Amino acid sequence: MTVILPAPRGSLGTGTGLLWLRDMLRIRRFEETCAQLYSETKIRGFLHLYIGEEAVAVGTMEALTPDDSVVATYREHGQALLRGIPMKVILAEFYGRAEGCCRGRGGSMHLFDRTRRFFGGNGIVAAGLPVAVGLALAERMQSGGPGRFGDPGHVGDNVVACYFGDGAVAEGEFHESVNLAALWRLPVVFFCENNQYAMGTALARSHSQTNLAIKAASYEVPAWQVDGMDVEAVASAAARAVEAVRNGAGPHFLELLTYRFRAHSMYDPDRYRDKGEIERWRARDPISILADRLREAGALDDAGMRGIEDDVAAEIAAAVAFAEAGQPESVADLTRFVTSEGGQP
Amino acid sequence: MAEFRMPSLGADMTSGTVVEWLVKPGDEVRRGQIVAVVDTDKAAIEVEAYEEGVVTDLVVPVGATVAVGAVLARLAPLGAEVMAPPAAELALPAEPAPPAEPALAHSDGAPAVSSPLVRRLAHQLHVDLDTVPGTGPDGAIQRADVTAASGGLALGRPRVRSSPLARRRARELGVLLDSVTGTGPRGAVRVADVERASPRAPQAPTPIADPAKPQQHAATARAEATARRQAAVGELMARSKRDIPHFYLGADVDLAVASAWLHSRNRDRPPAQRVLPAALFLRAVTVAAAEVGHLNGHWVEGRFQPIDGVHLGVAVSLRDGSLVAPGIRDAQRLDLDEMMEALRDLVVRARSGRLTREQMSDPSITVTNLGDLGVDTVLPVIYPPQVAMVGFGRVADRPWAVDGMLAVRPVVSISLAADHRASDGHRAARFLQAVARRLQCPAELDPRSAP
Repeated sequence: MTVILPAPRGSLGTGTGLLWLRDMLRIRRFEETCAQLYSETKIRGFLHLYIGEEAVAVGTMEALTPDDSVVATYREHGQALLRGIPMKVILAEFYGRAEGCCRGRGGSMHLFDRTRRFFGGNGIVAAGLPVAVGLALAERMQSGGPGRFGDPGHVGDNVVACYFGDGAVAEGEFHESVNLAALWRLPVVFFCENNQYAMGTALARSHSQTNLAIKAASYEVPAWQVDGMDVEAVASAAARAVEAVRNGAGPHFLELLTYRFRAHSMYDPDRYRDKGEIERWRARDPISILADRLREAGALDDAGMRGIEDDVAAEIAAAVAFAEAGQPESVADLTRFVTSEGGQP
Repeated sequence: MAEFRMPSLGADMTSGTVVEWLVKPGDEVRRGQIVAVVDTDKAAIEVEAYEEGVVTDLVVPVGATVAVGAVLARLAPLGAEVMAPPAAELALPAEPAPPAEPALAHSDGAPAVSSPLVRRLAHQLHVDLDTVPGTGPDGAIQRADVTAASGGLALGRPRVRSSPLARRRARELGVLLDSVTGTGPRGAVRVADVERASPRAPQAPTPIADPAKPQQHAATARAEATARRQAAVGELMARSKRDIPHFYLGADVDLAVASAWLHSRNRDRPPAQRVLPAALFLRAVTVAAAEVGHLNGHWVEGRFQPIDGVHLGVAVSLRDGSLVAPGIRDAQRLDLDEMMEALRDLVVRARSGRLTREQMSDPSITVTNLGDLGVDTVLPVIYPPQVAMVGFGRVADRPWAVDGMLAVRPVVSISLAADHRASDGHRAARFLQAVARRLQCPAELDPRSAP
């Protein structure tokens, strides 16, 4: 059944807290720059921004190791950055440059880096879920387990972290995937980024049960809601869930209650919600919440904040310069990767 | 000095129209602040500044369409002294400068001199260049002349205060803003003024929300638009009930033949090409209205004026709960598939607020179909100046006597509200009979299916 955890207090190591703050600011400022570059036609294709939801990626990725796998959505810039794909490589990808992580062929929605076990953004709602369950099955089979009904679960499997939105929970793929993962006790942790809107459709307009953790719980998956605007609460819940999955307890599900401050995509007039609602959520900006706590704890002052902002600004400036200097892929390579090259993806 | 440019909001966006400025010269702008509303092919979108500064001038006036990347406004660094023009001058000159002596470029028969840019702007603003006085060298028509002629921000002639939506409607209806008496604050022209001034404007309210105050919450603006629409419809309905001596007739019609015929006609078609019973009803009403006189037309100036051609109004419910009744023009020319297509188009456009001018022009008779909502019988209120309205209830399986036996048949209840000044029970009964008869011979409503 669903358990709603209060935000744990006093668990914040200030060193960790400053790293979280820095990571959230990297995502926030990077995406703000991306919006501007998009307006200036430097970035083409779609662009979905994560602004407001940073605590979810930062708090959950804290629990993962480099051997774990990540499957994300088309709003995946944050996860890609945290997974270690350099900002300049991500931006070059947005620019359509050969220096991008997918040689400029993927763009914003299709960041991918196998070496970092980052198995992609995905342009299709809920399409990442079966991929994650498949990866988890591969983990299980490679560790010698059968991966089928009656599998007791294995201690020490690498974990697959699967991100998706509240909209995905309305898709059949969600239900099939969670069911199969639970049936086979696969090492996958489902991170539902519930930002309250499936594009422009409010949760209550499309879900009879708006507590999404209850839906997952119906598949015998331990599931609970977490305050997704509080990075400490997210990190604590994610640590507990990932540890359980790693110890063979089967899949877990976290519903991370969050909010995107900006429109769904660049071309969204955002008329389906009123500005008062956005302001109320902005009052719970995950970056401000953490920064305030760090200041209270004496771990952060104005100079410290400025230092972080300056470092982030320098990283972004370098990324923009790198992307600007990048080259489009050669036409001679047009047909490369249509079929795989010697087993390479 | 920083520049605020027309942003690109999608790869398919090449230009945008400034619908509203939310800042004026002298205002300080912060990064991320919404400074303007831009209309694109897709939607009106609030656009933000990416740099901070003080607005020195707004380069592009409201109503103008410019390419992505064009400078919209200039910003000086924060703290810089900016001479803000006096508010009155900014809003509109109280005592307008006398217009420059305009040379009517076409007066001597010579073609108007204009650049491709000007022609493009004229096309976008639906301005006929032959009627535009040019103020440029040798009477050349300049962009400002076109903007002025379109009723937008006039340069060199007195500007008419108006809401953005009023300007858009004026363009759609071909109304010159100068000729409209405004009833808004300080004489500003509102949509209602434009529509009053237009001979082509519909009596029924249009489902376009007034975006005059985009800085308000979208929900509030929507609620206001809904309230305005409801008030307008309410006024119209009160007038109808007050002035029109309504009378009502009803008939239950067996649809067994029509249902079977439609079923077999639809069977081999992809869903997008299937015809719904609603379209068959519209076809039957159209044919009957053309056949039986005194129901298809308007009551104006104390007498009935018949109309050639059936402009078939269809009541459409909007998401906010209000109703509009746009029309299918010359419905008698449409076959069944075309009628279905027209109905789909009408509903989609009405609900998205994108009705065409033709669809908004006055229908000659209107149909309301509440069958989907489980209603058995509708007793409609006539839309003035029309003189009749036809209601359809739900198609329900009912016990039905056929050849002395009890059968179960799909039956629809059709009702007619008519204006007794224009027609009488006899004519109205003939009309209902005609509709019922047509529905018994559905193939005749579909000339293409005739052998």
